[in-house]
Amino acid sequence: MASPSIEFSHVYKEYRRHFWERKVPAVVDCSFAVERGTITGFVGPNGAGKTTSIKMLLGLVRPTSGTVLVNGNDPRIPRSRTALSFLSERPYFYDHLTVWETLCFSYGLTAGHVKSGEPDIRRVLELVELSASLSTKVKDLSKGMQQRLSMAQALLCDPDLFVLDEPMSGLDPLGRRLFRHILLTLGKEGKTIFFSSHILDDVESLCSHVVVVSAGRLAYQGPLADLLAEGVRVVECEVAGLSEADRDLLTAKGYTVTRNANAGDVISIPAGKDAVECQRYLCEKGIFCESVSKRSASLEDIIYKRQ
Amino acid sequence: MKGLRMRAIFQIAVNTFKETIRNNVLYIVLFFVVALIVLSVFVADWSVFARIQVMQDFGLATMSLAGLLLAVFIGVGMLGREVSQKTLYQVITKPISRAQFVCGKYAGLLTTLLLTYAAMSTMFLCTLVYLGGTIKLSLLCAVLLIWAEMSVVISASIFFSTLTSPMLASFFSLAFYVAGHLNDLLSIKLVAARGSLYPRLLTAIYYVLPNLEHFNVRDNIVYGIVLPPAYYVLALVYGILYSALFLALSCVLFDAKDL
Repeated sequence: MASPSIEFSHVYKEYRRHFWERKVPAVVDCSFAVERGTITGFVGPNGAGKTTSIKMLLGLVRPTSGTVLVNGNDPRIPRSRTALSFLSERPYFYDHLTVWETLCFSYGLTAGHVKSGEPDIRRVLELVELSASLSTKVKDLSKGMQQRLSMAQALLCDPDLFVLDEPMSGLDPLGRRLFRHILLTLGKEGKTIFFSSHILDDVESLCSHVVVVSAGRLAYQGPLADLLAEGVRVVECEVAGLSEADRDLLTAKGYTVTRNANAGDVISIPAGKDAVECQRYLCEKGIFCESVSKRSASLEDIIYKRQ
Repeated sequence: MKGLRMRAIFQIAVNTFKETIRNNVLYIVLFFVVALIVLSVFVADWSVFARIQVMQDFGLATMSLAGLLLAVFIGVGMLGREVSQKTLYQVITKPISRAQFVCGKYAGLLTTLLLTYAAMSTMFLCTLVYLGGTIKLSLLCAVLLIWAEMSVVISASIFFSTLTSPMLASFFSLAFYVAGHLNDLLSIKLVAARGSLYPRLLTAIYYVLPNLEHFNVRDNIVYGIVLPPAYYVLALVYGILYSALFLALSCVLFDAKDL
């Protein structure tokens, strides 16, 4: 089995803001792994240690103790960043460069030469819809446009691992839609995407896995579906043709039966109650289940509950 | 792999060069130099010394000062701004080592300084010829030594930038320049203070700080004292070694830094 793209093992990081102040922990005994080919959301409140963790996996910050591995390498080694792309929350660009020069510079740093990069640069510019702004200076771009340029930069040289820190911040709805589309396409191509976000809707719609941190500690790591399953409050089955005796029996078994507007019934199966038993009963009686829906707590509520 | 590393340094150097030549400070300093060189024509007229001598002295001093201003303000600002504005994230999140980043920055700044000196020297020499002077090889060597001196100051500026804030780094760089020129005085003091505890400290400072007076051959040029070619070669080697030392220290410190 291939090693994970990102691996945190008992990572601890403490900071001292000023030399006269005491050190404060930013990340405490954090262990998680991001498997290859997954889109993993990295969520948690402000100050939870997300940015510090991202900085550690980029080799910008050294962990106080523990191990961080990126593609099996120490992130401090430049080789570990060969197939990695980073997109930061706030775009950091050289103001004196144009859009084209910025991408040429970026391409040159990864590939070592610029000449052969022209088709790739044109490809990514088209993807983020910035082809018309080639000669615009970066400082003259709006924040949303700069974010698109950041994405273009991240897409250069076709990396395998994307580390994105709040990629959607500062984007208009169209930009967010575009980014979502790009990320989903990358996911389908088998790229590994690890992104932090406060916008949980994005996490829910994009991610297959999620890592939740709180106060520097790991709160959850695993498939998003499992986390969402924790929040399932009730399963509702819409049925037609229940007799009064059926209603009484189901109520006696702990299900709630209510009449709906179409003269049918809604059977509510609370979380933890066996839905199969109810289903079997309905089958025996030859009652057709018209719809089944889940009423769940939002990801936000589930994460809030876990902290 | 080695070629790739060199290419990355080259890319960073080119970007730094572009950044500095698009910086207004460079043109303000160049304007200041041109103004001073033109002014030196009039100053030479008022002086009791020969016109050409004054012109040479004034011109070389102006170039030295201009180089210092550029080395300190652009050199310090360059790395400090990269860290404070986080633009370096664009570079060091790529497969680039921090040492490559520092060396690229240094190479870019040095190239800018080289071109600036070429422009200033052309202006200076044209004025000199206009006043009836002749262009001697020793004069060109003097300019080369000023450039070598500034390469040491830039490397020291980068070193201070990795240690502290841009403001303090500017202050330390200026202090380094002044102390480097006063280092000769330390050796005199050292002789005077022999026999007490004091000389040990002076000796340490004397050997740690570079003696920037080695790069100052203005008096020799003005008074026509010919220096052997070996002097220029040794002074250049001295400059290269000190620059390499400061760069190596900068790389080590920068590598250990949380960004």
